[in-house]
Amino acid sequence: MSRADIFSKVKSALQARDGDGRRAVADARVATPPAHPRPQRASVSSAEARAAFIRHLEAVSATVAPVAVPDNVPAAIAAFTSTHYPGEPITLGRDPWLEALPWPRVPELKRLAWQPGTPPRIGLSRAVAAIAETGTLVLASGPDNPASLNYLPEAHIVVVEASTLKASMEAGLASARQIPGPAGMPRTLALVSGASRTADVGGKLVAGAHGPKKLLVIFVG
Amino acid sequence: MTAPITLFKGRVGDALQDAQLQSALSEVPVNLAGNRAKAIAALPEFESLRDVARDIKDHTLAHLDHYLDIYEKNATAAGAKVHWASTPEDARAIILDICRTANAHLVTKGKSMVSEEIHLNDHLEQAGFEVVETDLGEYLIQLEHEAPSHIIAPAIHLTVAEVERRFRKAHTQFPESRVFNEPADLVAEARQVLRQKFLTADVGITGANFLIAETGSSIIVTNEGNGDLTQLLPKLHIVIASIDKVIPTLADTVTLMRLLPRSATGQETTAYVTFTTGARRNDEHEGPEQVHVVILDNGRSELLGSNMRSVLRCIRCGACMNHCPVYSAVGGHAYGTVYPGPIGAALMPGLSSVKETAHLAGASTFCGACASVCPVKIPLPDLMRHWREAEFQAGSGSPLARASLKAWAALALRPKLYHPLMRFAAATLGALGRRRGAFRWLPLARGWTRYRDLPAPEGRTFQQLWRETQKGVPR
Repeated sequence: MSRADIFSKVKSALQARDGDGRRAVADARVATPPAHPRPQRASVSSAEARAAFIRHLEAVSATVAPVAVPDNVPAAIAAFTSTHYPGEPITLGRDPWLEALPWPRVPELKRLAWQPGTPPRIGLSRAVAAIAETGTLVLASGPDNPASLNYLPEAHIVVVEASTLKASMEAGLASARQIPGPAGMPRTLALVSGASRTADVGGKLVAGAHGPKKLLVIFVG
Repeated sequence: MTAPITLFKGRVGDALQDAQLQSALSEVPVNLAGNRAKAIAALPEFESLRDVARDIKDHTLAHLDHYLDIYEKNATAAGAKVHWASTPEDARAIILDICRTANAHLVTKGKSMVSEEIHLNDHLEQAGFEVVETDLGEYLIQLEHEAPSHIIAPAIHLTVAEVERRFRKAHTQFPESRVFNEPADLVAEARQVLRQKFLTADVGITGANFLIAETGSSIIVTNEGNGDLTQLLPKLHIVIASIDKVIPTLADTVTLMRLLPRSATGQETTAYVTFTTGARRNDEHEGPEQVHVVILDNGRSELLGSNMRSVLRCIRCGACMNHCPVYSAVGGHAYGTVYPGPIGAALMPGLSSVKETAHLAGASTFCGACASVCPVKIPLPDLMRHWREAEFQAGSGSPLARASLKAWAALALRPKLYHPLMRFAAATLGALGRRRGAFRWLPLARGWTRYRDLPAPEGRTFQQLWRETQKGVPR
């Protein structure tokens, strides 16, 4: 039995004894995770966070389109698709926030309901949070925002509300754990910070290795 | 049988003569080490975070049995099945059994050094499965059945021209007349080929950068998104990880993630950092229906109980090799082991045997660059020094080196002989070398003087100078 074998070797390596108190230490750390020191850039004001979020994404060739209110989101999407993918539909899950947008304002933009197995050309998702310190989108999987939309399309469009922007990675991850399920975690918790890329051919950075070649972030508010 | 050290020396000689390899290696300090320096300059707290990271790993290792147990409970509660493997044979048997039971044909793989450690691809292929590496670098080396030459940039030894040659040979479905103008054209072809594999794979196998006890999650860190597609699209996902990958909490992971990409590629973060927790949920229409996590020991529990424990802090960033003058000169293949560079020299004797791999500790100038960049402060030169001792005690190593060390020890343990002899040598060499200040040639020192001058001593030994200084003799 490998399990018993491994645990017995590990315990003997650590000179573990029953009642040595180590289990209580481990349980306590998991129950109340430590607050490690954070870099200054992870505790900036919201104005600084906004600038940093946009700066980090643009540094990795993502496009950030700020819009004032949710009603302006469909037009921002249509502007992107008509430039880069004219006439092509966007594919999205069942996110009620996205469904409630005023789509009739852009009648030329067709929307498709996501189906498993068929790679869409353009995917649309809504992030549950944004992280300023690294320019990161926090996406929680589920029928509303299927995880494969993050990785399969040629272009990925992500809508995120400015009110969800956090300075630190810690706070950004905490936003994704407000859901029912094991340990409060979505099945796939995706941190996305730019389009797919590789430097495996001759050390030169190339966009669109396996995942999206373009990332458009629509920053609402 | 040829001794491992002899084979190693042969590979080093070949590597130094290999113009293509030398051209590829010349980029390492510029790209990886240079980008790391820039990223660290932009994060003033980097140095202090290294201490926090070291403490996180030390705490985890001191409670490893309990964090592994908590991880298993939480991963199981989320719908994953956790398997335990003492040896590479155990791990392969578990994975083969899972693939057979699932009636699988095509297996896609994300990058995993632990899968290299257990030579998983060969065994899966021998058992009749089609195995496709999906990390572009891993795919490039799989085309010629090579081993990775770097832990995060496995194809770092390949030039663009060589990549094109491999694609023309392997991808016969495309017209021979096609033109590759730039790396992007090669990447586009790989994307097209591998996409079909992602979509039709029966099983996806990935490694894990971390396993989180608190949530039962596994994490992968990628730029290509290949590991994400590998673990999301097939009906069955297998994670292969070693016991030292477990971390207590998300909070601990965040600190380690502030160090990992910066140390590895100089990125503030990678394009994708993905946490998966258990199998497909009831309301979902995608994601694997089965998730298996195979946790491998392979000698690590013994390292845990030894004075080599700190090697298990490693988070596999590759910074030690990017900054190593020996790695930069010979590349990863010369080491002949799964893990090359300083971390390989420190870890491999614990995973295989001292006889097979302890000579790698000799492939170091002990300049200390590796320890100075290690994000979790592994004292790599100390660990290599330990393996040199172990090698000597085990009676392996080259006969000449053993004889020289023994002769030196015999002399150094007899001060009445040692001091006059050293005084004589320092005085003679000092007098002979005074004019040039260095020797171009010396008997018994050809290994040194063939490539560079040997500085001449000043004429007196250190001990003589020390005594004079203590007496207040002006210098």
